[in-house]
Amino acid sequence: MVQGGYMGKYLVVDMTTGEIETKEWDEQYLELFIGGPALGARMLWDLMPAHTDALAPESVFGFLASPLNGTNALFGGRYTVVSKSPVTNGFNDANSGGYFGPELKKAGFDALFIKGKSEKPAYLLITDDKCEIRDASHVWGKDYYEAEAIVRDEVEAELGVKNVRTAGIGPAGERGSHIAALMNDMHHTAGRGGSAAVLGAKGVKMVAVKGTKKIPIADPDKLNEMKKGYLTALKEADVQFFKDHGSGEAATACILGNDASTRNWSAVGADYYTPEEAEKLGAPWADERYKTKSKACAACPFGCGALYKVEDGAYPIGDTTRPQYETIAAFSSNILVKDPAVNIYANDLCNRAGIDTISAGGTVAWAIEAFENGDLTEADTDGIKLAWGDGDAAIELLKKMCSGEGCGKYFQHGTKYACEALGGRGAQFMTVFSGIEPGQHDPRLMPGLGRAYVWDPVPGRHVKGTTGYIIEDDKYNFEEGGPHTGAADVEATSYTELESAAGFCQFGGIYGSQFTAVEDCEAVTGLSIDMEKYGPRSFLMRLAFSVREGIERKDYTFNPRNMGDPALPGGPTEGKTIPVVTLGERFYEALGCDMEHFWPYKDTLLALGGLDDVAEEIGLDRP
Amino acid sequence: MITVRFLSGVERRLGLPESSCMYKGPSPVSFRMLCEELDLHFPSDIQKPFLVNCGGKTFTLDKAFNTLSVPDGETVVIFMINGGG
Repeated sequence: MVQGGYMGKYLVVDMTTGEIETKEWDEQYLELFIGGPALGARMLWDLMPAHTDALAPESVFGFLASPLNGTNALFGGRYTVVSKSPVTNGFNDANSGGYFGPELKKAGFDALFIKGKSEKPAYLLITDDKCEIRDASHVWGKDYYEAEAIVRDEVEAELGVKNVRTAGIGPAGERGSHIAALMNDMHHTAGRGGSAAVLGAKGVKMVAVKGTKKIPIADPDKLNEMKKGYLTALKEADVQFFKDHGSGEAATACILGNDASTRNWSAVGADYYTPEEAEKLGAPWADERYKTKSKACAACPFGCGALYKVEDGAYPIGDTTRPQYETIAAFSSNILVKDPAVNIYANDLCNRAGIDTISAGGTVAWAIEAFENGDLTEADTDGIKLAWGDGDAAIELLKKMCSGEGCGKYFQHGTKYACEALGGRGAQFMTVFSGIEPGQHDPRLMPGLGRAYVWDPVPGRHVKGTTGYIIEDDKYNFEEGGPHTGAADVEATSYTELESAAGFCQFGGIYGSQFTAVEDCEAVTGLSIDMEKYGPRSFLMRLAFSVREGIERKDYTFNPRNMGDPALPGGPTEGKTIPVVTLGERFYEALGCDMEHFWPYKDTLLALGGLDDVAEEIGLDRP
Repeated sequence: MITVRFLSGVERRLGLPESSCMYKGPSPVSFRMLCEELDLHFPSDIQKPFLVNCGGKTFTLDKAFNTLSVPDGETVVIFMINGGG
């Protein structure tokens, strides 16, 4: 029985009719799906007709606060967005930190689902137990930073309060860019898979939230005890470097060590970067020159965000934010650029436009390689002469993507869309997974991640599946694709499923113990979580949405280059080819799916609970 | 003389006070011997592997131990991938 962690209600807003409904949860949904991607997939399954176009009015966009949000559980500040992906035409989820999720709960709601299409630009204002639709014509077309500041300031002045929290889209989302990112609290991003385009198609620019309610916690004493223990452990852990510099501190090592992509995943980092050049791309180098303030998400003892003021170099853009590791890699080694000014400026451009930096960098890398190979010409790029290592040209193309003007009309949608719009030229250089550019971690170094990149319902994500650089331990040795990998993969994946559902930041898991997410969640909700059932239930609920859309094994596509085929000629992953098809088969077999479609058997779904209707609709009879 | 530099907080993992040290013995020297002479002991950490950059190439720790010979005047950089995001 749920005893805490939830406010018990969610909103369904129809932008076509203006109807706003407050609904109470079916408690079984909370017990079985917990939150985040799993609960979001369950709700989309219920609320959306099958085969709805992602950008149609009948399509549904969901914000889901998480059970840990607002409870002060360490690292428990992340919320999730869900929708159908305009890229894969399957399920999509993405999550972000900041303060939006906790504030939504303080206003009395665990989630917000938006359907329909507004006649004119709108924003939603949510306060204690209330929601209203407001005109957003004055901020439509403005960049996200500017729009957020305007809405936040006017709501704070009207209500006489401070710290109104916001989430919304930039101009890219308004235009339906397939790589549009959902932004919140200025620079936080639920960027992946194009969900922001779905919100834009509804005419919704932003959601502003202010609440005052207290969030119930099932066992506050236990939660506090665990928090004290965790803080003590963190004092002894080697985390100061991360606290000082955020994820970007890893850029130097990842470039030299071939975790970051080099030249669109085709080359060896150390062949192009000396240690000194790679160090200049790490956050410590830029922090020393530009950092003005650290920023932390709700309930985070690290604070991996930061504000910058850049007044020198190639792009003296003034006040901006520190790029995360993913952005640094995407706009440096991925395109062979050595000047850190490029990734700092690219980060600012993407955040303002509301574009996913990972996909944007991947798209630029593909365009450069296709251009260098003669597949694309200046006629395709509005005269921009793309070249490896040319940061200025990369920035010019990115500006086109951010504005959607000229060649930006197709590059703004990412690699796959642009390639198809250009007649398939350069298709051999697309390093995308079912159309989505991957995170900046290399499966050749972390083979289990390859399975997640290819075979997760939301492909190309570095936060799904078996994350971690586990390459030598017997149990997690995925290099050979042995029979043991299926069960190990399901077990490890189950914890990333739960982390996402709970709203737990994976940095807490990387630098501490990921099991804290389970224990925190149990202390907050009062639930006893059976991880052997929760993980598969969560994964298969996400999968089921895509299965209902008709997506099957043959639809999961990837470039063999990303799996080491052909193998890299040097570096720490020299000669490695990842058996990613075998890893996928092992994983889906361990989950209880058929091998032809990678669809779940009916008895698999029925055994997990909460999926009986799903089993009836998409479950296969076991032969 | 050979310079050994540590990135990514490796010196803390190895219990060393500085982010670099020097080897002034005979060279070329194998990486294994270099580590023995400098008293560098790498804790087993399967999740965050140590890597070695030398002469414009990056090696896994195992490969460096087994194949790397370091000439005089070279800088060896030892680091580990400990996160990202």
